[in-house]
Amino acid sequence: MATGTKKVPTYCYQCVAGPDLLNVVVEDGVATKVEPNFGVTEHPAGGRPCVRAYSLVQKLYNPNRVKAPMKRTNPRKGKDQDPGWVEITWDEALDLLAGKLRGIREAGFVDEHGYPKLAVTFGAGGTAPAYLGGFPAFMSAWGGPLDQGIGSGQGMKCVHSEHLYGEYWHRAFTVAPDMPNNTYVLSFGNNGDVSGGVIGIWRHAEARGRGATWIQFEPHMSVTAATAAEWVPIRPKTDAAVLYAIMHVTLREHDWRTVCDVPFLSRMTNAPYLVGPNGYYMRDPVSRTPLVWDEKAGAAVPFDVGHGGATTQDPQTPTEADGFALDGEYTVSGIEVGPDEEIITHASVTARPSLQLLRDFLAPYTPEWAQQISDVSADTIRRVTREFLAHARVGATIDVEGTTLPLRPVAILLGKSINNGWGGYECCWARTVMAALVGALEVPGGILGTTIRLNRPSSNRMESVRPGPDGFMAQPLNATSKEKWQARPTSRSAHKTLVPLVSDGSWSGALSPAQLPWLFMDDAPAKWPEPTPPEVWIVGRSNPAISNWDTNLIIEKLRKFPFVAAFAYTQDETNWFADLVLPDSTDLESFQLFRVGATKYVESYWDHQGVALRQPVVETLPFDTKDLTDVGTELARRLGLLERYNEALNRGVALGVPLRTPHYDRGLDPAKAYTSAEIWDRACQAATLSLSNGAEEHDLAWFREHGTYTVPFSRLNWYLHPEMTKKGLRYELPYQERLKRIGGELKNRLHEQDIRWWDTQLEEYQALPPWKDFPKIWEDVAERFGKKPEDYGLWLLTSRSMQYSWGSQASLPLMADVARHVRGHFGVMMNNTYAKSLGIADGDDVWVESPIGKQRGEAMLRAGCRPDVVVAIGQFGHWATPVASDKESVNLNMLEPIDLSLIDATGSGSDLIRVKVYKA
Amino acid sequence: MRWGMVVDMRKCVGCQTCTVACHEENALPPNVFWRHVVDVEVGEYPDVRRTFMPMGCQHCAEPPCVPVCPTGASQQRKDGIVFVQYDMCIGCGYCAIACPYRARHMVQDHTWYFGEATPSEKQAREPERHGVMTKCTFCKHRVDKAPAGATPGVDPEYTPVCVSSCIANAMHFGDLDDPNSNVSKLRQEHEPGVLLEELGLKPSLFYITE
Amino acid sequence: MPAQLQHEWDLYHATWFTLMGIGGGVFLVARLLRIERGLGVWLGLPVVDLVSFVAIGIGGLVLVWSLGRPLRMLRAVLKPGTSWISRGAIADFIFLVTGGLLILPSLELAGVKPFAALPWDAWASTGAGKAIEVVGLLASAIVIVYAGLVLADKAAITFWRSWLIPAQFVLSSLTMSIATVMVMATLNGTPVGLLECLLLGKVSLLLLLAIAWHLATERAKPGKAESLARLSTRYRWLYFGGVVGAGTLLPALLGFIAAAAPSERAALGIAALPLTVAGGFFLRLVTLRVGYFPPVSGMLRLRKR
Repeated sequence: MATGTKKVPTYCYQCVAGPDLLNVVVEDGVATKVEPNFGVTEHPAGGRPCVRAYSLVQKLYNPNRVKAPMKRTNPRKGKDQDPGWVEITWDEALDLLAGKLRGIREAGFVDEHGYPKLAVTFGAGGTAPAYLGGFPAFMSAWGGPLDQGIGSGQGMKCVHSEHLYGEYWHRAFTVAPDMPNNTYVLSFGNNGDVSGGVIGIWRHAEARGRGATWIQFEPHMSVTAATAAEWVPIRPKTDAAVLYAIMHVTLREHDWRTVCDVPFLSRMTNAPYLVGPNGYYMRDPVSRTPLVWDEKAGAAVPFDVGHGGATTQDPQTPTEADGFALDGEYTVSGIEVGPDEEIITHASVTARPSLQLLRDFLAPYTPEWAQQISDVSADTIRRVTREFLAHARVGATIDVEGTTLPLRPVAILLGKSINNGWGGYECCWARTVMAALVGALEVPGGILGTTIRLNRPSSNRMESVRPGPDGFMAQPLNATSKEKWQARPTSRSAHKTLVPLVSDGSWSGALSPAQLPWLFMDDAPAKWPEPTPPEVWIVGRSNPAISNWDTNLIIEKLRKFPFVAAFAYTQDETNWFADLVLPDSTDLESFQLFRVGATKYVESYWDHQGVALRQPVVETLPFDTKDLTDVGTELARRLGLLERYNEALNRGVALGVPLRTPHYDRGLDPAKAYTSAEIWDRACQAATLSLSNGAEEHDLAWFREHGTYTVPFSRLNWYLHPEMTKKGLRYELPYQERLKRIGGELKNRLHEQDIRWWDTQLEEYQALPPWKDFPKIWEDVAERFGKKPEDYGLWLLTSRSMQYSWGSQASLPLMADVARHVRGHFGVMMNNTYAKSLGIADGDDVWVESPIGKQRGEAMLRAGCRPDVVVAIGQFGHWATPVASDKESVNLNMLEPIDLSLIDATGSGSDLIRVKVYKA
Repeated sequence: MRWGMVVDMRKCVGCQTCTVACHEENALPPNVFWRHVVDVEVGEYPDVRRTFMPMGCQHCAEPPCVPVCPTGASQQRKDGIVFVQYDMCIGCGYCAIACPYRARHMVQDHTWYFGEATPSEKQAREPERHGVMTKCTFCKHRVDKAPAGATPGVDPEYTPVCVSSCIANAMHFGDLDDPNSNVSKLRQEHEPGVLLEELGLKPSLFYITE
Repeated sequence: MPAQLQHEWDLYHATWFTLMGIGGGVFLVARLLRIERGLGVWLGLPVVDLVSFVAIGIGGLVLVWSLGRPLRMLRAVLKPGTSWISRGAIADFIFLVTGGLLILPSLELAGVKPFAALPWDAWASTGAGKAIEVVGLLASAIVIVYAGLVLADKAAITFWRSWLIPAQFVLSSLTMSIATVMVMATLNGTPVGLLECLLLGKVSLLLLLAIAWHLATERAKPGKAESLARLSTRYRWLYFGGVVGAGTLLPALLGFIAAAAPSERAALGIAALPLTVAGGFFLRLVTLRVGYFPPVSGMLRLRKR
């Protein structure tokens, strides 16, 4: 037995803002506590992990864990059906799973409806990849389609609008403020002081310390609203109205030529592109290049005239673009290209620069108009706009590593339920347009994208910037042309068929209408291949039974899944329906090398990049669990896929770095089965060789001692701006001409198939999206269930809990004790005055009822809550997970229906529902 | 030399990382927290303020918990740290009654999170701490280990874990008597207040609010 | 942090306070009124002193039982300079020793007095005995007052920080003790004296006054306001009905009636005993149970932009 005390470096990736680096203290072979890893001085938050990381020791030794593989003996599945688990050996378990998979390989990968028979669901937000070890290489070696469209709640919780549009507009799968340089944030529901990760929180706090201003628009006073300079209690789902009013004030009440970044608009956006009568760019009839109006020449010219694509951002150096008209109307000849190559020829028509169209479009969206919709006063709207424009410091510059870049220290941030669901497109568009108007897009101080998931290479945003049509970036869109459109869905979420923006990568299935598998299983529209239960469903680090909406619907479908293999930590609500549970070695028990630094999700952008090791911290694991890399190897071996599996690893699948390149070869012998340690040893060597360009090489033993290896990462890589200017590209803003056309094509395709149930979603493809009555969409839900909307007068919202977010702590009593210090946990918050009017006192039990069900919880009276809003923190509703199931609390997921009317064009929805509340 | 802290409430986000880090460092039993962060709300809708207040022992210069102790177990060091000499304590609870900051905690018996002790709980348990009063010690077991040249409050290894774990960098520890220390400089710049000033206990924790 | 109830001290401590009050009080009352002989003799010893020792002994055991580390109890005497618990522990100890010493020579077993050689007796009829008795009386005075001083001196509980708390505890100890000696007299066939009855009445009234004064003053003080609210809600019946009405007002009436009606004194004394003891116990228990730590404000100021 080991003796003495040692500190074992590892990382935590229980949320997507990580990895957080930490040490686990091990005394006499027993892990006892977690500490920050101060040795990693490159870490922008001082090497400190967040509250959840400290529960990892309890997570390791939790006696409620699944301690060995188990198989189900009760063939009936249901909430009230005990699975009848019986422990089996790993060999039996893997043989059982391999047998099922072999059946698919032999009979055909795809079922009679065209869906892959194997479906795989891993946890949200990319947290799972940091724990899957080599398993993704098995998925790659599978050799046939597999469906990742049965999500873990993506269509309902994930911020698809921000992901898809963000990556489309500025390679921003997630959008972050450049906080180290920022002085002014307008946040619409972005709860960054809970969700921002240690780096985000550190930077926000530092910004507050130096006097930066953060204004929080949110229906209740979240943690971020609490730390903000000002809380503005906005009515739910009206954020777009305020954003549109802000744009209105900027472009119509101020002198826009003074307050906007005119050179940026002229040179780096489609603001000067002339738009024809049908809403498409006016184009040169031969080259099809979009036209602009050259004021000096007094004529329409192609936008790329003269400079051949090269632009410069130095305002002192004039370019041709500075002479392009941004306002007015002009008589122009040319063509418009509509959907399906429809050419509309114009001899002389009136065309306007898209900025002019935007200004005209914004005419009705006055602050007074926004006030009566949103409850945000017109004065406030004008004031924050004035402050935003002043803080934007249009024209200012800053030196970044010897390069002069624009400095625009302002950002508009959006939170969940604002950047997804109906209105998500409008809010994302407005926010990004506002950034473009002052040039605060992808420059110091402004909004940045921190990662990409749909474009390649995923490890390098900059490299994914490639010239595309019309002066914009190339985009990996799913085809909508008649010849190439994927008519028959390839995944149960139909990503390729319904969502052009989501491309067709490994993440695409889940980033789409992941509601559809549940909604259409047993009840598909006519002519739509009904999503079938997959023959084999592998699920891990995820709890879809309760992390989707309408729990009763989900578990009704889950009962029919013929074979579910769940990588399980404890018994939970999803593996309650499993046929096989496989306890994988979790956070502190297995090997993986994972990327750190560079720019990643949320606000994790560093001045370094590198890799960090996760490793078993104790010599003897407490239970009979298995490293997922070994599981992948074992399954590959059993299925005769070992060679393909090893080759996938050699290419870098799952490892994050190829084992073989022209510069080094640490490749695996395809015929041999390696242990997890052996595989990751090679990954360590390859990673360090790759990062150091061959100068250094470190193996697993080195990483087990040191934990992390990094090299400098240029801060210039935080910003897309240098890449865009270098490649002479423009941002496709403000006018969404391509989206309009794509939407038209998609509509044609769907209507050709007589599919009209996606028509409402098709309306999102608007070049300048008008305001819609978004709150009414939710108010109308009651009618769809035969109830009266006026009976459900309150909004039920949810808000993040740092102590519980991403779900890994649900079964840990330590975290319950800690979380209770933050008000709102395990209850439902409501406005104190409103509650008293209903005779509800603090601590009373209340019913929260929606058109589809009701839940009982403890009322927690708050002053910091709109009277028409109730808030249930986090996502509970457990009945099978130990400890979590001891607490009854209001869970929004039980109360919100999965309904087509609530799904937007990117396949996302919003976590809110109309309810009534009364004393129990 | 007098150890003290400055807490920057402008930065604190109430995440309870300090709460759990202290809990883990000191192997505390279930639901006992020497450091915790209080979620405070004042005002009426819509003029509301909410803030987060790290609480715990204030290591007062005039600690009421020391004179009330009948055995002398509750003591104050020359450097201001108030602590309990566990082997002298009889567990009468008087000091807990005397502390207006509610910073003292007594646990009579071994309790475990899951009924039986896990390996980490067994390894980390400290039997001397049952039946006696316990409280924040300013991590004196870390502070006292600082070798020459190391500064508690600057070198994280020798700093209270609540301070060194804070992800908002909201807590600072140092020598209140040294005008050049981090805490002294923060006091000069922000003039932070103390809690329950009217009681005259002269706490060593200073809170920056604006 | 809002005001919060203390949970440190509860049933054990209320029991300990009550028993100390009776134990010290009966010794004090019996000897100051010089009625100890009339209260019974057993094995040569004054029964009232034995009752006193038993009460204090059990009270002490209850206290020790409540400690986190009972086996270390002797350490409690180490800090009389600053701690009322230390002072009280020393006083308890001195009382037991002096009280025990005082009665020792009078012990008679099977007709033999083994300690008769000592130059005093249990009745303090010699100079030496008087000196020991005085020490014992002083110790017993501290025994009945220190519990209240423990609460009043340094506790953070606003409701307890008043000299009226030790005053209430002392007065309550006296009423319980007077009622006890009245019953002991009756059991011993001794007529209950006028002085005891008047004292019962007057001391009960004083107790009533102390309670009323305490409840009426500084009502809005943070921490005390919450205590008063809890008294008026959760403990409304037990406190005002039980402690004040049945435990204080009624014994006062009984005392005055007994003073005017000698033939009823025995019965009235027997009636007064459970009333004063229950009243005294619940006075202490409820005082503990409505003890609120005062709120700790976050020093927030509402910000206007």
